[in-house]
Amino acid sequence: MAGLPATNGQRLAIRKLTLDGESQTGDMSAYLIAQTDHFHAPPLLDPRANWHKEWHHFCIVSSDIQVILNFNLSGDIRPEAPPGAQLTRVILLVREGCWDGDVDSILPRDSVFRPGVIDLHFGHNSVRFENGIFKLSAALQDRPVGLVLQLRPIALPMLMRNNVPIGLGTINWLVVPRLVASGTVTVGRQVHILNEAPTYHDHNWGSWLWGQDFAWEWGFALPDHVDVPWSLVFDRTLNRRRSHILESKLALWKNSELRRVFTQSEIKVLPAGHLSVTRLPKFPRVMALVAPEFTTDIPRYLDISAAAGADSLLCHFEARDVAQIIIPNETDLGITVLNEVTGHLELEGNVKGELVHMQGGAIFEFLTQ
Amino acid sequence: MSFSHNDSSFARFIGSSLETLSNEHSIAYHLLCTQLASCSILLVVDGETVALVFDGNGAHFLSELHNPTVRLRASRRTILDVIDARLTLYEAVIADSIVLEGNIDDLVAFHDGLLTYIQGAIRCPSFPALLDHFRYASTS
Repeated sequence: MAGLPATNGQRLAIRKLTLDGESQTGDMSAYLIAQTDHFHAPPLLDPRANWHKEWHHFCIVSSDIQVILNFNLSGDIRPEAPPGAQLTRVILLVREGCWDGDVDSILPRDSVFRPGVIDLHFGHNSVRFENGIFKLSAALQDRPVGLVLQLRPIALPMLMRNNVPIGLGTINWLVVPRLVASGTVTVGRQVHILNEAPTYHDHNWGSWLWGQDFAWEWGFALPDHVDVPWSLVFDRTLNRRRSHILESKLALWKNSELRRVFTQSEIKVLPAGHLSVTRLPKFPRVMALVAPEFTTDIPRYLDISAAAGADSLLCHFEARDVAQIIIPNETDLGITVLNEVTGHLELEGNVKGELVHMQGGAIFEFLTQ
Repeated sequence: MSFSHNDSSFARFIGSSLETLSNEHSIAYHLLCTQLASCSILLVVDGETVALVFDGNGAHFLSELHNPTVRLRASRRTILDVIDARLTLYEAVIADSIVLEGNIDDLVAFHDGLLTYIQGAIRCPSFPALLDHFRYASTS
């Protein structure tokens, strides 16, 4: 068995509270997140313990700045690494017209997380969950980028992937599709004061090696206006050549409640054109030496349609900018590229007899070679 | 070739980095040596020369090299600009901030070897400290 799947208790709690249509409250959201969103220590006796990967991912899509923050733990598979050794990184990217940011490596002795509790300290960077609120603090070592934010969930979490096979391993993916962020993001001398900015959060964990036979495409969209009830998360996993779809899911929330999930053949994805950019920032910067290309095969537009029974959705995503996070493969001397694509999404449809309409900021991620 | 601990020369950086690559990512090191086996390389960085040849046993430093198959001339500042992505390798070459001389086959082999060197370096635990030392020595 590879990876640490969600426990039965976690799955049951989430299903009961997100699919049964029970009344939703902030207390429920806080309870579910506290129960499910903490980091998992890899089992030391697992021969694949060093394949373990896990991260907390946060995205903010305010009108004047977009932020991607990732607290990342990865088993160290290098030959001289002791069993269970882990590499810790903090990735912080911001886009305010152009991209800035970096990938900071944190010394293992400075990385602390408490099993069973959402309380991470990666160097001076931290994630805590207290009284139903995420409290984030991060500052890059060599770039003038930092943030201090409080994130309040306003939609219930969902386990989008539950021990889904990728490569020779598995991945779990818990999403909190909609939060609001308040606080400050500082880029150089510019201080952005956020007041309930649209925010997305997820948590991935599992066991695999970068470079194995898989790829993924996922994204989320949040409405520009807080009074619009809809939010959306899309995901599909593919083989590395992206010629074969392994798993697809499209989830729609209304306010806090999960409203509809489309899966597999109910979903059609139609890319069109290619995103063209004059600069293609790559992080960590040194990786531009091994991936110097300024071109990508990222679609300019992505139409995602879903239909089942009387329910249907049509999502039109327009990509506007991209930054790349470049990861050395663990299986060979190649690389894996995570294309972080900012853009705009329009959503229309009809679900459970109700018209759906939303437009807003979106970030999609395309994993390519 | 040996280097003292306090030696901040470019030759010391290259020697230490190749030794690190050999110790910490032997696959990349041996691939690098294979790719560059046909080349004799003269690096000229801020006037300091480093002469290298490669064979199946590894990299060898020469005290002098009169007819290198590949000659690279650059400054430490340009090398750091490329590492930190203030310049792309392409931009540095077009601007003559990095000057490369050699026939096309040797330059292609050198480019392949350089990529292998970097691919190995980014996977070596000790490389960040080596780079920090090079950065410090180059800016102080």
